[in-house]
Amino acid sequence: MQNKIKIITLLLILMLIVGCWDVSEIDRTRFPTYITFDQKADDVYRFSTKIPVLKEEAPEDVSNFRFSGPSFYSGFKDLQPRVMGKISLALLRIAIFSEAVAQEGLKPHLDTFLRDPVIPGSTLFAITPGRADEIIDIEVAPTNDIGEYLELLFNGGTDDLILLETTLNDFFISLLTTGVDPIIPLLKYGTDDMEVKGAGIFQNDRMVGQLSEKEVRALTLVKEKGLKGEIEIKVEDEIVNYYIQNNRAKIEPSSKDGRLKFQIELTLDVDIDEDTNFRRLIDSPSTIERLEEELNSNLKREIYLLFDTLQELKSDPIGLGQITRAKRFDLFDPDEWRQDFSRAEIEVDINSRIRRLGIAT
Amino acid sequence: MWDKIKDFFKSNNFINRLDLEAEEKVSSNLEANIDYLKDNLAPSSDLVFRSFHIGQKKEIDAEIIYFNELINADILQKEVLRSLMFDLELDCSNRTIKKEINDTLINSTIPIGELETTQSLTKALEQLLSGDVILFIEGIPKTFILGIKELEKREVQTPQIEAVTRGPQESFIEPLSTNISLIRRRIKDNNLMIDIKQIGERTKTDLAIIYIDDIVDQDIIKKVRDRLESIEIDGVLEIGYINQSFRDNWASPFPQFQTTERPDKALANLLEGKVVLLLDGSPFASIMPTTFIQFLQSPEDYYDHFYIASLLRLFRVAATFITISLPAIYISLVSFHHELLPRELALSLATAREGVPFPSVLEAFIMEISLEFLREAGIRLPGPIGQTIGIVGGLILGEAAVDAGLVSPPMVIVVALTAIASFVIPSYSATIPLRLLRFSMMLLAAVFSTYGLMIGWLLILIHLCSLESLGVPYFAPFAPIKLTDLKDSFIKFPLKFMGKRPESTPTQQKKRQPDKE
Amino acid sequence: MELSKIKREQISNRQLIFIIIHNAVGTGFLSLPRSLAEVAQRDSWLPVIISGILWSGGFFLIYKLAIKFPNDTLVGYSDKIVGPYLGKIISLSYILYATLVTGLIARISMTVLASVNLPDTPIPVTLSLFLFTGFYLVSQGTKALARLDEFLFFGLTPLFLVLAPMAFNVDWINFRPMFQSEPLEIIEATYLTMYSFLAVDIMFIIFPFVEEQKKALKSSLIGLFIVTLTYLFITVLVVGFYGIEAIQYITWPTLSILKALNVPFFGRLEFFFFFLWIAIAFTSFAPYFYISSYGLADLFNFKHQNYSSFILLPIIAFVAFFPKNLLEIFSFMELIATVGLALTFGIPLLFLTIIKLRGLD
Repeated sequence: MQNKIKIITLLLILMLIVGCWDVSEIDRTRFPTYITFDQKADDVYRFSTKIPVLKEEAPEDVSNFRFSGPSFYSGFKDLQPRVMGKISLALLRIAIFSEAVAQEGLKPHLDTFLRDPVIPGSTLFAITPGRADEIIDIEVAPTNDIGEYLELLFNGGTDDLILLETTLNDFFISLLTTGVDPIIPLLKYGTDDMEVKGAGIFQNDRMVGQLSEKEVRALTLVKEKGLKGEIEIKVEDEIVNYYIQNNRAKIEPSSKDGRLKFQIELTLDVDIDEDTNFRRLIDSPSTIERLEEELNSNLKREIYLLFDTLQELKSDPIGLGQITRAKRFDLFDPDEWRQDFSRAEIEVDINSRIRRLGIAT
Repeated sequence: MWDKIKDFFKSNNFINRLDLEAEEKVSSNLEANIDYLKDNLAPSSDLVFRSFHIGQKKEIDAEIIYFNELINADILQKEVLRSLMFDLELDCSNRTIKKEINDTLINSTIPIGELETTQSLTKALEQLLSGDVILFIEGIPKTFILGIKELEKREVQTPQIEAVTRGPQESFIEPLSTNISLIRRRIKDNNLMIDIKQIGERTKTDLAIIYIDDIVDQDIIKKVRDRLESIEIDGVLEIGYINQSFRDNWASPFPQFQTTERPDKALANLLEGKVVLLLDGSPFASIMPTTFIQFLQSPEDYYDHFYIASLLRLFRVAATFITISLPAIYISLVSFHHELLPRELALSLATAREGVPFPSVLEAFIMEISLEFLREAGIRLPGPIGQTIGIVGGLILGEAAVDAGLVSPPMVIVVALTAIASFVIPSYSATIPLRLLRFSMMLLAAVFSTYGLMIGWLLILIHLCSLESLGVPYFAPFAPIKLTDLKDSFIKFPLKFMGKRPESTPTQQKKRQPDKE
Repeated sequence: MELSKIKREQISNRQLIFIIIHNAVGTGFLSLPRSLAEVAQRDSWLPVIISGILWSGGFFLIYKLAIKFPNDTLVGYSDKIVGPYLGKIISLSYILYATLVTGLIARISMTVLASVNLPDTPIPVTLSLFLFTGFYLVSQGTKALARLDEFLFFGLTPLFLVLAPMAFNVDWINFRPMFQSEPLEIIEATYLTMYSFLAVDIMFIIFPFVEEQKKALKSSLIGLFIVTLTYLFITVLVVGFYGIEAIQYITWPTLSILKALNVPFFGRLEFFFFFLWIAIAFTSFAPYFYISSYGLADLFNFKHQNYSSFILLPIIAFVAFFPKNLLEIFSFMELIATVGLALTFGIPLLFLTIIKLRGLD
C-alpha cells in the first residue's frame, strides 16, 4: 500500500516534469544596459536603449533602439516584437532622464522599476540637460557598452566628491520619506565622452533646479560620512589640492526667535596633495594652520552658497527635516516643512585637520 | 508487491537444497558411512575416495575422502597416509581399539595441527565440502577431520581503489584467513573477537564478524547477528550481498555500510566501536554502522598534519556539493535566473552559448551521459587502453563537440569540474548515489530552476536525516548534532583532541584511553 | 499514544528548540516589518518584544497542561478531561486549524515564489512539489523532522548573514523619536505580529516525544527567545533601511531589502536570499503538516501517519487555493492568527480549570 502511494506520487511528479514554463535561455535573452527617457511629443514619451550584440558577425548599429509609448511599460512592450529574443532588464545599469521629463515628474516612470523583481535596486539614475537619446550617437572609449562605462564612471573607485550616485532604491526612499528630497546627478554628453556636472534637485518627484559642481561637493560633505576625495582651493593665487580622508558632519536643529536654526559642524581629516606655491611645511605649524584656515573659510562659503540655493528652491536633499523630526520632534511640522526650511537659519562651523603632507615638501 | 517478489524468490531458490537439519550420526560401520556420503554428494570427478589399511599389519580398513583440488597432496601423502600406513603399530584386540586409535592418532601419529573429531556425519560432510580431508576407520563411530587445505591465492597487494600517498600499502585479498591475519597482526588486544559464521545455503561462505568486545555496543552486535540470521540466500559471492540484505532502508541510493579494502581503515573503525565483516572470497571489508561523513574521510587525514587534513575535508565537502548540484546550478542560472549572474559573466556566457542548438538542459544531459559512458568504458577496457580512452574521449570529444557548436565551452567546464569533483570523494561507493542524484537535480532545475534546486536539496536532506544504519543516525554528527563529533567531520582537529570515541556510534567505553590512576 | 511509538520517535530537547524556531520563522517575517511600521510607526521594534513575552505565557500554559499527561497528545488528553465527544470536537477543531495554517503557508510561499522567481509556472505545479516534499518529510516521522530542522538551523544561519551587510545601511534616524505611538497602536501592532509567532501550539502534539519533558519549557523558551531576536533583527534592519513611509509600498520588504546592495562578482543577493528562504518556508510549513497529520492519525487511530497525510493533501491544496488574492491572504492570515491565539491560550486555560474543578490531578 505504502509503496503504491509512493510510486503513484513519483509518477505524478514525473508527469509534472514535462513542461518548463519559465525558461529563457541566456543566449536568447537580450539585456539592455541603459534606458533613456525623453519628454512627451504627440502624447508619447520617447525612450531609447542599447542592447549589446553578442553575435560577432552582426552589423554594429543593430543594437540601438528608439521606442515610444504613453508610459514606459507600454513603450517597452512595443519594443519586444522588434528585438530578437526576450528582453530582460536584469542587467540594467542606468536610467537617464532628460531634464524636461524630470521637471514633469519621475513618479510615472518609477512604477515599472519597482514592480518588476528582476530590475536591480542598484540601477543608477541620472539627468541630462537637452535630449537624453542623443546618447546613441556617442561612442565612448574604451568600450562600446555605455551602461558599463557609466557604471564605472560612478562606481569605479574614483575619489571625486561630485560623483554623487543615486540608485533606484535611494531615489525611491527619499521620494517617499517626508523631510528629505531626492537628488539626481546631472550628466552632460560630449561627443565621445560624458561628464558629471552637478546635480538636479527635486521637490518630491519634480526637478526644480540644478546645483553646480561646487555645490554638489559641499552637499556631499554635509550629507554623507567617511568620504574621500579632492578639494581644490586657491590660496594667494596659487592652487592647493586637499585630499579628504574622512569627514563627519553633525547637524543640530534648534529654534531661535520662532525660526529654525541649524548648527552644522563639519570635521575633516585632510592630506595635502599639491601646493603650487612650493611652501615648506615641515617645521612650520603656522603655515599648516593657515592652510587649514583657508580650507575652512572656503568650504564655509561654499556651504552657505549651497544653502542659499536650496532654501531658494525649497528643496531639502540633505534630509534636515528628517533630522529635525528625530532630534526635535516639537519643531517639525510636515505640512509646513518647506516654508520652515526656506526660512531657517544656517550656521556652519568647519574644523579641518591636516594629517599627512606627502614624502617631501 | 515487494513482498510477493520476495516470496517468489524465496520459493524458487531453495527447492533442491540439502536438508541438513536432521543430523546423521557416524556409524561404526565403514561402509554405511561411505554410502551416506555417496548418496549425498554428486559424483564429481574431483572427489576422491581412497581406501587403505591402517598400521603395519594392515588389519583395519580405513578410508579418506577429499576433493583433490582443495588440499595439499604433498602433506596428505607424506604426513597422513605414510604415518597411518607405516608408522602406526596397533594392538589388534577389538576391545581397546576404540580408545587407542583415538588417543594415538591424535597424540602421536598424524603430525598436523588442525585435527578434530566429530560424531556427526552432517558436520563431516560440511567440512569435506569446505576443503578438509575426512578419515573414517572401520569400527569407530567417529570421523577425523584433517585440515590440510591449500587454496590458490594472490599476494597481498597495494590498494587499488583507496590508494593513499602516505599510509600502509596493503590491501585485503580474497582468502578470509589472510584477511584475518592482516587485522590480527595489527591489533594485539585480548578483547578482539573474531566470530566465523557460514552464510549462503549452497555456497556456505565463511563470514567473519570482527569487533572489540569491550568497546562495541552490545545492541549493535545483537542487531548484526539478528540480521545475519535473517538472511536467506543461496549464494554469497561478495560482501556487497551482505550489505544489501542488511540495510535499514532498501530503497535508499546511499550506501548504508562502508566497504574498504584497507586493513588500517578497518582497524581504525574497530577502535571506534564498529563491527567489521569479512567474507571469504571478497577483498573488501564491510564496516557497520556507518555515518555519511565517513565517506568523506580518508585514512591519510589521520596520518597527515591536521591543517592539510582539514583543508582537504572542506574540499571534499565542496566536491560533494559540486558533484550533486553544479550542472543543476548551471542550468538554473543559464536558463532562468540571469540576474543572479554577475553582469560580465552573464554577457560572456551568453556569447559562449550563441549558436548552440540545444537548451542547456539537453546540453547538460548529453555531456553528462557521454561522460558516464566514458567512465564505464574506462573501467571495462584493459589498463593502458582504458586510460587512453579517457584522454581521447575527454579531450577530443569535448573539443570536437565545442568546435561543432553542439555544446558551449562553459558547459564542458561544468561537466569536467563535476567529474573531477566526483573523484575527489575518497569512497567509490559514495559517489554512486551522488551521480544518480545529479540527474534528478538537473531535471528539477530544468523545470523549477532555483526552487527545484532547493526542493531537491531538501528531499536529499530529509532522506539523509531519516536514514539509519543499524539504528545509528546516518547523517550524524550534523543531524542530530553531536558537537564533540564535529571535530572529525568537515574539519579535523589535531590528534590531541581526539581522546574520545565518536559519540554518534554508541560504545561501551567513551574514552579511547581510560584515565590512568 | 503507544509507548513504543513514543520511544521510537523520541526527540531531544535541543531538537525541540530548532523545531520551534523553524516553525515560527517562515512566511510571516517577509511582511512583518511593513505591517508593524504601518501601525506602530517608529516604535515598530517594541511590539516584537512584547509579543515574545506574551507568547512565553502561552508556552507556560501548554507546558503546565501537557506535563500532566506525559504520554498523550492533545487528542489523548482532551478525551480524558472533557469526555470523548467534546474532546473529539476540540481536537478536531485544533487539527482543522493546523490544516488551515498549513494550506495558508503553502499558498503564501507559492505566491511569493510566483511573483519573485517563477512568474509563468502554474501555482498548482509548484504547490504539488511543495506538498510532496512535505508529505515525504511527515512520512519519515518526528525524528526526521527534528533532524532536518537541526541541520538547517546550523546550515542556514551562516547563510542568513547575507543580510548582515545591510546593517551598515540602517539609518537609526528612522527610529527616532522613540515612544511616540499610542498604547493602543502598540497593542494593535502586537496583534499583527501574532501570525509570525504561531508556533507555540506545536507543543500540543510534539510534547510526548520530547526526551526530558521536565526541561521542555526551558527549551521552548530558548526557541522563542531566538525567534524574537530574529524578528527584532529583521524589523530593525528593514524598517531602519526603508524608513516607515517607503516601506508601506513594498509587499515583502524583507525580501526586497537586499535589492539595494551591489556586491561585486556575486550578482544579486536578494535572489540568493530568496533561494534560502524556500527552505525556511518549507520548514515552517512542514511542522504544521506534521501536527495535522499526527493529530488526525491519533484521533482515528491510524497505524501510520501516512494515511492521514494522504487524506489531508487534497484538503491542504483546497485551502491553499481558497484566498482570491494577496489582500485576502493577508486578511485570512489575521483571522487564522486570532484562532491560533484563542486555541493556544484557550485550550490550556479551559482544561486546567476543568482539571482543578474535577480534581483530576
